[in-house]
Amino acid sequence: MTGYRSSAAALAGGVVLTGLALAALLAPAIEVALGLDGETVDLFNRFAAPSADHPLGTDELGRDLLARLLNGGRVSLAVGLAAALAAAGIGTVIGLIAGMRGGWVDAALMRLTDGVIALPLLPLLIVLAAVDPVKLGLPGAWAGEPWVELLRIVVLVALFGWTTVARLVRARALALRDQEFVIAARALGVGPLDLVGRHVLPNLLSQVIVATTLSVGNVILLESVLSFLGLGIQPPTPSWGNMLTNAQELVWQSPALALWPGGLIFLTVIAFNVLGDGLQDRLDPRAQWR
Amino acid sequence: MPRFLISRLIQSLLVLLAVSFAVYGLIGLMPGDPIDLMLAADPRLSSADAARLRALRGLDAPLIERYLAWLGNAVRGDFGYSRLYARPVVAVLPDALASTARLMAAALCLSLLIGLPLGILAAMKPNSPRDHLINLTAFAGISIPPFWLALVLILVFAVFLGVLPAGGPGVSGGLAFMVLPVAALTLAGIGGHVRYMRASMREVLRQDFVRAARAKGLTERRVVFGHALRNALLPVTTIVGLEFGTLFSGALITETVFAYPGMGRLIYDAVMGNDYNLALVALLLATAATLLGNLLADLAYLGLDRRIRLGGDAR
Repeated sequence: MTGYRSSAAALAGGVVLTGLALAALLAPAIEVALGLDGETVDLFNRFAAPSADHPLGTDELGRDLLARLLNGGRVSLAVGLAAALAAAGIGTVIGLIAGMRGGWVDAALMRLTDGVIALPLLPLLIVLAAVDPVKLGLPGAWAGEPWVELLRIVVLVALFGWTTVARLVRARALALRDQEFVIAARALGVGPLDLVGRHVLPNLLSQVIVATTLSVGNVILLESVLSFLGLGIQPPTPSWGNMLTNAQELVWQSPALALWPGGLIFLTVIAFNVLGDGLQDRLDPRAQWR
Repeated sequence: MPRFLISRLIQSLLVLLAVSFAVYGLIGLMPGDPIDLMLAADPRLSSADAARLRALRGLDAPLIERYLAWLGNAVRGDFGYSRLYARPVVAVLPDALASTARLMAAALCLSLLIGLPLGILAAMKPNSPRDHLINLTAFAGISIPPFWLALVLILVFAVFLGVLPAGGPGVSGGLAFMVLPVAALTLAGIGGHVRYMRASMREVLRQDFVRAARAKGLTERRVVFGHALRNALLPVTTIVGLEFGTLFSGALITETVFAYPGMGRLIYDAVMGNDYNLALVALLLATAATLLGNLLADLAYLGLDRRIRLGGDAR
């Protein structure tokens, strides 16, 4: 709808994201190439200014900031994408069931969606994040395992993040259900799973992709907030959010520690939002008017 | 209309009840219970003492029994004591509520006063450089991590310029303590308001009655402010209604970073400090405020838009 400029902005967002994703994927190689080490603590070299050894300086424990930013980006982007995809998956299933079945199933699922949307997200996430996995019955040996930590955040965020996609998919499914090609398919004896998989899902997939793109930014924000508050990714595994946890007390000594991780979160989220907005304009049927 | 209101109120109460049970159960799953805390404070207590204390306090009873006991007391207005503040929970809340309401109201008003005009300006000239600039600013506003915005504001105004305090007691310490938290929340809120206003105004400006007004020869200004604005504000009212809930639930991150004594920080401190009674009630209050905001949003929409009739079978 906003035409050329919007596509240009979306393109810029896509380029930025590709760059960030490449940097995250190649993080180990970049570390080796530049001779960086984001894990070794070097207390004689705390808060070092940028130099040839440490292109962006070091943090409060003398660890290389650039290496930690690269690895943190790996974690933040992976968690963001995984949680957004998980939420989209849940939302698509719930939306499809509600839209295709109708009746009391639809009513119940939509009341559930309304209920989840009406909850104060952040306070409840904090309570959920504070839950002790051992008391939940999970093996104690899992505590502190990095992959369990990542999975925990993905599950937490997906638990609340599915509502937008569910509403969208339901609305589209309701509209598609009564279209002639779907009625024809049903009349030909196509089973319910085939009907959804072959005829309904492909026709609403593009909307789901747009909504997911728009939600990745929000998910990354949520992860960073939880990690910042000490309830998300646990150190020493770096994420852009938990790198900012200590930055607040250290803001007087080393502003760079606060500026870099937050700036990268900001850049990533705005890139996802602009890209999603551009895609949405492309899909908007009214876009062809102008 | 009264039927709609009553059914929505009952629905909200049911959600609130479900949330209270869920949160009560979740709090039991957090590390440590009150007896663990007593054990940590007094090394002479044996595990037999602990079991005896648990039985005495009813902590060994099944979850549903404990919850019903809590609910029974709560209905009578007894929410127990706050561990952190060593005062009854009901005595802790009013100050936090007042602080939060002041903070959030100031930020909401400011971000509406700035965001809505910007959204209208952008919508009046779609695809102009002005529109793109405003739109990009709005994107920046919704994309900025709130705690980072707070940190940057502290960095600029407290560290580099040294003109404002980095955080503190809120309004009781003087207005200076309000400036940075209000600024952070306002900046974060403008983006959403701009985008809603812009989208809504563009939608309305496409409609036939606007074309008719233009054909009549009215100036663009008359068309926008005399005819379109009223209609374009409808969806925006809904958004403001939804945000009404935050007046009482607060802004957890901003309040925590600025050490502002509001509801958001109270919830965070209570959860982190194992203050179960306080955490539960504060969370329920935040949920109730959010539900009330939703209800107000629907009512405002209903009152403003005569085309909508909400009844028992509206869906």
